[in-house]
Amino acid sequence: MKKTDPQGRPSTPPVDEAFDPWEQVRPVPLFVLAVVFALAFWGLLTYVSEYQAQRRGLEQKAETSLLSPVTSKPPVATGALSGSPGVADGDQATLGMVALGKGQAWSCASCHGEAGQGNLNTPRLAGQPADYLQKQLQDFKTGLRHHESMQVVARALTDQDMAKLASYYAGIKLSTTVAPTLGGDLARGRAIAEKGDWKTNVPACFSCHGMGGEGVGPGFPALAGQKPDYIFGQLAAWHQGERKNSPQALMDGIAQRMSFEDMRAVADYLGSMQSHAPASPPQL
Amino acid sequence: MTNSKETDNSSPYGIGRTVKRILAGAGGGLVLFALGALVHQSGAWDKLRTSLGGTNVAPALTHEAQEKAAREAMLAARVARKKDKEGKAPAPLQPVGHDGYFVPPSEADIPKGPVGDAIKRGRDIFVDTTRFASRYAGNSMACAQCHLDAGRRENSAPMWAAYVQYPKFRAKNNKINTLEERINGCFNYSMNAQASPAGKAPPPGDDVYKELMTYMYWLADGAPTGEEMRGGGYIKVKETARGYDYARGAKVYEQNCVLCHGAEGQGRKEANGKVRFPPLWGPEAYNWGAGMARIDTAAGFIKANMPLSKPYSLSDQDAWDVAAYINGQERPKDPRQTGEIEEARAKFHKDEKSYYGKEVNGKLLGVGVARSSPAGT
Repeated sequence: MKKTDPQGRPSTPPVDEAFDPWEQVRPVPLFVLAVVFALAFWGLLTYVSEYQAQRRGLEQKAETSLLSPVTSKPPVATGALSGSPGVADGDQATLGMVALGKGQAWSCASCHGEAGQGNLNTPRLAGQPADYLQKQLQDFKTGLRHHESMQVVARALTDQDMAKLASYYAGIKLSTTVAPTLGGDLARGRAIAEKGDWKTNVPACFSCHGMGGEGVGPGFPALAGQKPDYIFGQLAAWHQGERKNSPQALMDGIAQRMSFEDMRAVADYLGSMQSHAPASPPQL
Repeated sequence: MTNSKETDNSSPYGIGRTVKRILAGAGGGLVLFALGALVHQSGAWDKLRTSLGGTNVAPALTHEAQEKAAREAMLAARVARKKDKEGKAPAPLQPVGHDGYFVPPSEADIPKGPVGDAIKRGRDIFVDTTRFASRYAGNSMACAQCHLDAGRRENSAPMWAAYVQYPKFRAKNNKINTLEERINGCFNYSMNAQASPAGKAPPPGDDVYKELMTYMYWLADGAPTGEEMRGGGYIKVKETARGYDYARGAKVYEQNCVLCHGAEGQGRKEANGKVRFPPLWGPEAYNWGAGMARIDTAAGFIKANMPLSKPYSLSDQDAWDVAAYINGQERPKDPRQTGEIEEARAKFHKDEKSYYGKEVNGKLLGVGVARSSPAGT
């Protein structure tokens, strides 16, 4: 249909007479509609169940904090009562570091809580063996254990500061119960904590950290009442090779042989245990 | 979707029609969702996935599932055999796990009633001897310190393998030993009963024996008598060209053992005073008559079990050396020694690999070391 008029101008393009500027109604296929609705139902149900779980968790938390008013007791009193060596003389300086910080370093309490009780990913310090805390501070300073904030803090501290802070926190008696936060299988967590999984060379947590998970000085920190998020985070860090300061690489190997499911289970179980912090670091 | 425009001019897609379609879609959606939930609940989807080669089971669970299946198969075979009058049903097989070791029953399966109670008491004595058999424990040890996982762990002299070996002739006392007599030996030497409140091992026929033996019998359920079972006893570490050496062992000890057992071999306690890591020498450890005081036995235990969670991580040489270091330290005296050490060495420690009666670092070993306060509990 190519035509040119005498002047050589191109003819106007042919017009499609049937062209309709209004798009024809093409209804969404019924099946697609159905799938959309099915997904919507699924989403709604998931949302509702998650919301309920969250509310239950919050309620539990509120209950436990009501049950243990010890948490809110000032740590000062217990620190002074414990009579552990470092506290008596340097009281003022130690409390200063705890509550106000030192030089460039912010205070311990600003993250770890006023009684060293910890929060989510920030570990509980109260009642940990002093030697363990001291070693961790040293490791943060040297970079053997990596954490940007803690490195800043540890670099501002002298060896003496570390010793004083460690024995201060070791002396805090604080009884708390933490609600599980990770949705782990508590029965499985208990089995790992009490019996371990010998066939994969994962010994019972308690075989080294104490039968009540209260820690065994100098090398083994308390696990009972530690924050589940923190425990899981550390296990995962060992598993991935990001934390490397466990003596003889014991925890590296153990965590590498654990599944993430088991880590969640054991972190939730240990966290929800009643913590019995020793008044003074264990002897012998 | 510019719905409003069409609804005005095209009658087949009117507002009523749209609502109907949406309702139908919602209904279909519900049905789809219900179907999906049903398939998920029935487990058919998981089955399909596993059958297509994907592993759906967490790897940590597989060995447990396998062990459970092995024991269940044995129990089922027992039932079938009992019912079968013709005697044609096959004999039950020994329950064996993925690693080829015998699978003892799980603690969850301890029966109810008097037998179950005895099993539990036996297990308690086994794992916490100083508490549940305090009268006869003369140190801070427990059966389960050397027989790991409450006597279940292969290559740490598990009880399921020991049970089926008795009665047995033992050169140690040159006679046939019943299992009770064997346990009596454990109290005399490994538990150093001479320093206990009773001053001796439990008397023959004592409940301590009955309960321990009931526990062992239960652990050995399904194990054949007479068989030297795979993973029974301690492994034998090959002798090395350089032999064993106390000084080299000190270095190995420093690097691998101090964390838990302490620089003085004193072990470590929990805040409440309970022993967490057992002492390896000194007054609270096994005495000179114990099997573990022999360097070869200790090397076998260490190689296959220590440090905890890292079995077989030490070289043969290191295992020998550290065993020599640990067993080159003073510990409670051999209760059989009445006269001179020299005489006791010739009589009881003649051909064994041990420092008993020898000098290490200028000190004669075997003299013994006692608790400062007798029966210090």
